[in-house]
Amino acid sequence: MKKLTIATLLAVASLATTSCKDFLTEKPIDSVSPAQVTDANSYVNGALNTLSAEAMFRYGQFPNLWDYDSDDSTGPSWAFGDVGSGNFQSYWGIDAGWNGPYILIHRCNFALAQVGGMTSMDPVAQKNALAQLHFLRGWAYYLLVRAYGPVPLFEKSIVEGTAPQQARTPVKDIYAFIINELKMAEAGLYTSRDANYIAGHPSKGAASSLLAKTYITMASGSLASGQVTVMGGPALRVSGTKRFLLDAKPLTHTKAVVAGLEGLNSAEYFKLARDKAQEVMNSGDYQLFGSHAQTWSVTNQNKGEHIWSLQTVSNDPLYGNEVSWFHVGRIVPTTGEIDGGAIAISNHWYNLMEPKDQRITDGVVHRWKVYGGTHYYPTSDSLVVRGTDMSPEAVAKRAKYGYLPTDYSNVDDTHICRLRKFEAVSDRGAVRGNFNYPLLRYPDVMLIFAEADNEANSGPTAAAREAVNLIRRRNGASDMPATLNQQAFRSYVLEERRRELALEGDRRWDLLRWGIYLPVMNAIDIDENNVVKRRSSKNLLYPIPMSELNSNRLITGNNPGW
Amino acid sequence: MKKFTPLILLLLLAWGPLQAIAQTLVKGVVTDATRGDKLPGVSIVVKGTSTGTSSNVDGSYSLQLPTPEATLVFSYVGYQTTERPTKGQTTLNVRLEDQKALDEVVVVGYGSVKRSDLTGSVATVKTDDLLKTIPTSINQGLQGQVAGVAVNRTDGAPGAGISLTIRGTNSFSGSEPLYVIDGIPFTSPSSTAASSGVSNQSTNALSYINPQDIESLEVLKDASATAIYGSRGANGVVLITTKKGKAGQDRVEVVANTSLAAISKRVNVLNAYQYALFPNEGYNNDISYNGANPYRAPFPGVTALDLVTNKTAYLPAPEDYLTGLQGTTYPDGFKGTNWLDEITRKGLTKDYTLRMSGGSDKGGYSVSGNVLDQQGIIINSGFTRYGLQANINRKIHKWLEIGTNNNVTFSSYNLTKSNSNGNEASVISSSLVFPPTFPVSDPNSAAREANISWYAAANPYIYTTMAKDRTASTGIYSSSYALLTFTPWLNFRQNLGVNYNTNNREVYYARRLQEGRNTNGYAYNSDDMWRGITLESILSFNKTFAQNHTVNAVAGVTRETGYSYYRNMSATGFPDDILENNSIGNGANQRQLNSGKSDNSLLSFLGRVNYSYKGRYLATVSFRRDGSSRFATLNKFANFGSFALAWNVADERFIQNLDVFSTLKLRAGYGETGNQGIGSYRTLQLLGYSPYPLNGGLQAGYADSPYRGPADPNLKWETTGQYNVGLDLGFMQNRFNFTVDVYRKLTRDLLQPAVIPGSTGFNNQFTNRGTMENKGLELSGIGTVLSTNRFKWDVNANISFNRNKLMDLDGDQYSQRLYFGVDNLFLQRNNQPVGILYGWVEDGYYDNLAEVIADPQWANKPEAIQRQLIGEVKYKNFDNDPTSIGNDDRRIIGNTNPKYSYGVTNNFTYRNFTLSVFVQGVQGGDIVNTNLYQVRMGQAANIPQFVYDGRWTPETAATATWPKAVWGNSRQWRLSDRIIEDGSYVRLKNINVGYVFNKPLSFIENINVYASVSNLVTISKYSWFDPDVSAFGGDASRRGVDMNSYPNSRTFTLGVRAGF
Repeated sequence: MKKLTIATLLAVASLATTSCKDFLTEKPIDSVSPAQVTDANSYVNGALNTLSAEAMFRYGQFPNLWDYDSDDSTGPSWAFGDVGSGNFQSYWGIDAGWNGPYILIHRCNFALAQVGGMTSMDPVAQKNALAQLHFLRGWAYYLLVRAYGPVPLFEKSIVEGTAPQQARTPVKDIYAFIINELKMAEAGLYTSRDANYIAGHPSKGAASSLLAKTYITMASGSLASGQVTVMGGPALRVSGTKRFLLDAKPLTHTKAVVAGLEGLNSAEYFKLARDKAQEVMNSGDYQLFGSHAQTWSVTNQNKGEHIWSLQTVSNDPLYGNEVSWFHVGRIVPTTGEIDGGAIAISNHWYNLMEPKDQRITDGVVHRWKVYGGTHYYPTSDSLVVRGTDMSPEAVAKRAKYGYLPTDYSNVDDTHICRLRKFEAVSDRGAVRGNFNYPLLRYPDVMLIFAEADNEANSGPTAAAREAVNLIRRRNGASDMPATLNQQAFRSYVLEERRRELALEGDRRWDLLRWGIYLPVMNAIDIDENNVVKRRSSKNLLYPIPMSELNSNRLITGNNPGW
Repeated sequence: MKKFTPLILLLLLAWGPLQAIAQTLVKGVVTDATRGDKLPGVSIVVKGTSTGTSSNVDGSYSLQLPTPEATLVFSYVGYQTTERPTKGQTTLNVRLEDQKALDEVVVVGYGSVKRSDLTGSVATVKTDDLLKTIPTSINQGLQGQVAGVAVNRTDGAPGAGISLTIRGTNSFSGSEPLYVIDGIPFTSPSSTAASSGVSNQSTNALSYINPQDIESLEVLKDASATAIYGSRGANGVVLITTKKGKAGQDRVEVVANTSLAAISKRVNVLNAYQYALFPNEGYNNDISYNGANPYRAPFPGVTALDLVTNKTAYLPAPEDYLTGLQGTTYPDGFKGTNWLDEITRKGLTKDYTLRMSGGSDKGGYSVSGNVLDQQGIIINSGFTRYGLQANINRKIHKWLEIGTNNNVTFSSYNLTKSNSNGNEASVISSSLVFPPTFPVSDPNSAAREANISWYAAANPYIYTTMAKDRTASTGIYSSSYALLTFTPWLNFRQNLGVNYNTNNREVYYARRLQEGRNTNGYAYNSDDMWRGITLESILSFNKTFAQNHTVNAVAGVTRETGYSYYRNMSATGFPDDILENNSIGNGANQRQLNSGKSDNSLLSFLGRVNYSYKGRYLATVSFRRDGSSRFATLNKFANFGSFALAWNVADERFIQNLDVFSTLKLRAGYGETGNQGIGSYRTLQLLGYSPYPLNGGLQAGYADSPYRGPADPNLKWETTGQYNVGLDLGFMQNRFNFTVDVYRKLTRDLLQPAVIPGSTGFNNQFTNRGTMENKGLELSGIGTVLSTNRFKWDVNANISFNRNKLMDLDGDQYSQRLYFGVDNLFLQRNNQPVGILYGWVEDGYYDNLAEVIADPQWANKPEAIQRQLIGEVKYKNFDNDPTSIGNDDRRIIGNTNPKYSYGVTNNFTYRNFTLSVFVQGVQGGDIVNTNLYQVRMGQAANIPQFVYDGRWTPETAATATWPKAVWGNSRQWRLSDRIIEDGSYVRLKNINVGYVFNKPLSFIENINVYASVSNLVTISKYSWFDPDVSAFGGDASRRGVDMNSYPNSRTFTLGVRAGF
């Protein structure tokens, strides 16, 4: 019996000591550790992935956060009740404006350290990978600073030891950092024509374009005085039970200086913007397409004038997006009816165009099926639709849009101006389509050039006018008036930006950087679809997420009014 | 009819005993065995019959016997029940032995001790009490039964998740106790993960154990009892022992319960007429206050184009719903739909158990099968279980015993989408908000419903017929041992435990539902598996030296490994809804394929010594050293120990002389236990697959996940130190027993996902931060109030108080959000309990323009903005800035911790009748009723009657409880005291009436027939379905949240228990 006891005790003892260390060592089996990632492009893709992820474009916070809040965007009040009505904090996705770019920044910071430490890499490819990360980091801070003003600056990730709590860095310092980032990016990036360039990734031209945009944001924001004329004002008049759409009126507003940019030498930055834009135009990397329709075709994604855009996969729950569905709706395969399409543009915008401008003839949905019937836009086409207008223009319109006398329209939020640029997806039946949302587009750069050149020379030059006219001609519109003074030219370029870059995430920011956001919005008050456009000074900046304020004791309060 | 047949049979059998003929008289005196006192009121019953009497004041009795040969059963409170055969004698004097009530044997970790030798705080739950409420799971049955044990249910759904908290929350990383079944620690597999956009409803990990199979259930509460479980003992330990075969005759037992459940409380919403009035009022308010352009009221009563059908038709006015619609696009005569009625039903539950057991001195067996089929009160929801329990033990040699306990259970949950986040459609929210002006089904339904498809609701009836969410689980639990007895005082036990669980979940949402509308159906299939293997080698020593010194010691090594995986896939874009998810490849878009694996291991050394001097002075020392794979190299191992003393004061001469106490025992102890309740790999930085599209495909990418947070390489054990002082009291030969325990627990290095600034690129970091204190008092008493030979009244009551406090945090922090938009509500602040709620405080409404202008916040705003605010909620301004309401204007607005909770069971026995009445309640403890936050008061959504009645109008401004109606989504709700409600309740939880037939027929030992009503009455001020609700289940940081909860039911049960 004693032997048995001893044997058992020995067995227990051996069980206790066998490979105790191995037994408790963790070997993760379904994730990778940084040491296992040896391809620099994997880190770049990991950073770019932020754009597709839930923090940015996946569920629509981007671009909706850019587009809901402007004088041009409109739609049913349920869609526009929060950000669209100035109630930023009511929008479920508001915090993405902060967290999205910061996730991107962390990923870039961590990737910069990892890629920078790779020793066996081709130096050019390594430089390009690092430059892409610098570009993305610069872009993220650009999004942050224009939306939030001063923000915490992380040059290294907290994984590398940076303290998680950081105070806000002044606006000018953030801009200086962005400029530095973009210069480093410019130096290392492939041009879009380089054989090693990967479609959809940042290119040298993208870095220069974003740099031009950064300069002009600083320049117009810091300009001490000036006036801008904007077509706007009340949108609707009600008489009894009838609703009448009102024409936009030219209203001249005096600009304010953007907080944080006071005292900057704005003339200097206009020059920098002009030169940088000029550089992009001279590079030959980008060309305007011949027509509006070509610009927005799936086959032309990442080509011609698309400098940098979101990359997508059609009908994919993670890498498709709802941009097309939100903006123009999808066509339900079984019924041919439209579904979605709530983010549209105002009647005032429609009337900014000449009748022959492709941006409304080809660029707007005129006829669609829904609720078992066919509807048309705009209501001002009623005589054309009914066939009582027999003018050649009306006949041509009827033929082009296929209007039938039984088509129906009304002044309400289901009969709104939807932009066909958002039809540029492979599958119109999909909710999650492959709309490559434009993040930088060549006409933007050309109009930055025109705007900056006009300010730098205290009046328009032929080159500036030509840049605008190239865009207009491409769209089948007439050339701009030849005799405009500096203020009128400035206003015209901003209106052209409005026409060309509609719902591409620019209008709100153009109004803000020119310091005319409040007067322009308040001149509308409430638009034709009952979207409240009344704004107060708190709307100049987004509210910082409460989670940040709660956990970061170095940020003592939210932005004014929030 | 089926269920009545056995009843009639039983009534017939009841005549059996009355057929007795022969009569013999027997008499005698009953005395106390030690003191010789005559005992009055002793119950004397002829065994196997209901014939009996009780002793007189002088202890004498006389009784007519049905047969000359009989066995008399003498029972008296505080004495051991004694059986004596008459053997033809006519005089039978009996001496009853004192009952050492505390000498029952109590199972403790890695051994068992006599209750009188316990030094720690251990509560035993009587299976009889547990089964009275006819629970379908053990943890459910524990509610209100044990002082210090809080049972929280997710909601009222069949098979819904249940969490147990012992002595307050002491961890953020799971505060569920450790369950030990038949000696093997049971690591409960996490309930199957929900895919995004699908119900959060969790399932009960313990639901696969049939409560009828439980022999005993012990709750180890203090550290001296739990320290032997070291790293997993911090939340308390529940020891479950299943029924074993006993020496004696083979026995067959049948238990059959049939129940009918009905909704116990409704939330009343507006009927079609009132509902139509409401948006019309909102439309007018939009014009009057928001400057909206007048067009056409939502229910205008005019003939115009109906957008849904594109036909000109009469658009009804509210009044038309009173008389029935005519000439509209709706069916003629339509008056509206009550959606809650459309989705609820009377739910039938059938629960059958059959057991065979038996054994000899060489061992025993017990095999039981169980079938449970529970219908939920919402159509198409339910829970079914098929279980088999087989326990066998055998003494092979004098020195070798082997045994095995096995359970195999197949269960199936039919989940309805409840307990889902407030932004999403669900069957529960839809039944309350879906417009009552829509018919259940008519030719235009689909078009009409698509027209409001932006709103998070869908036709509730369609939900119950077209939403599918089923989880099939297989659970295998096996605990086997070999026991080697070397000498009477030394043995070695080798345990092998296997725990295996799989879940298979199938989800399909058809195209008529919100979830599948835009995607042409949505399908999701998932599988997950958990496997745990435990090896334990235990050496036990038990010897008494020099008569008075008893030493009882164990030492052992245990080694556990866990492995789990999950796989899931989803697809959309189905050609039709015919095959649902069954052929997921039919979906055109099937890109979401996920899988993952993880493993973990635990290695422990343990030891414990109990020392007893004359059974009067007791000491326990225990020690355990645990090593866990989950921590970084330097922190893998930790030591846990405890020390406790007890003194049986009643054994002292000076107390015996008082002749007051039959038990008086003092206990005191301190111990440390741990918590390793974090996932695997938390100390490693891991990158997730994060590709980016290239030319319509994907290019590989890797990046940190913002949700996982940066890894903390210094992560270590969370440690709880607990003091416990207890007092056990017994009076009148332990007829009345009381237990009082006072404790203080201090948990340091709390493991938690600490919120870090979003500017870091992460939401949180899993780290050790903060300390938590729990102090409490537990009182429980059990006693026999009245006892005669025919009537007996027992009371079993408990009450517990716990106070929680957080300390050593860097500053305020918040628990995770409840769902998108409901954020920063649960505040964690030093010197406040976990579970306090932080938000804005409402201050009535702006009744007129002057009141708006008077508020500095709005004073300088345009009149158009000011007018919008009339009839809107006013929030109290607390900070120094009167011009805005911001974060600094929030205050503590609630506390979800109860002040105390209690349970009282009264058991009455009269002859063969039994009656049990169980009342249970919770006092204090707020509930976050997120359903109120989702009340829109605008848009196509119905509202509760009390919201409508309390809405602001210029006339009712003084008494308004809700803001004005609007017909647009312009209102910015704040998380205010509005959504915090008092969750106190008292519940008549159960009444059970039964009758026992003893030996109705020669081959039937007994039959117990009973009827039971559960949830008969609940007294509570809570406005929603039921105050016993906790959407996040076991998440200690977010208790007491109601989020589209499944309604509670009242259950009527008829049951039979028969032994053969």
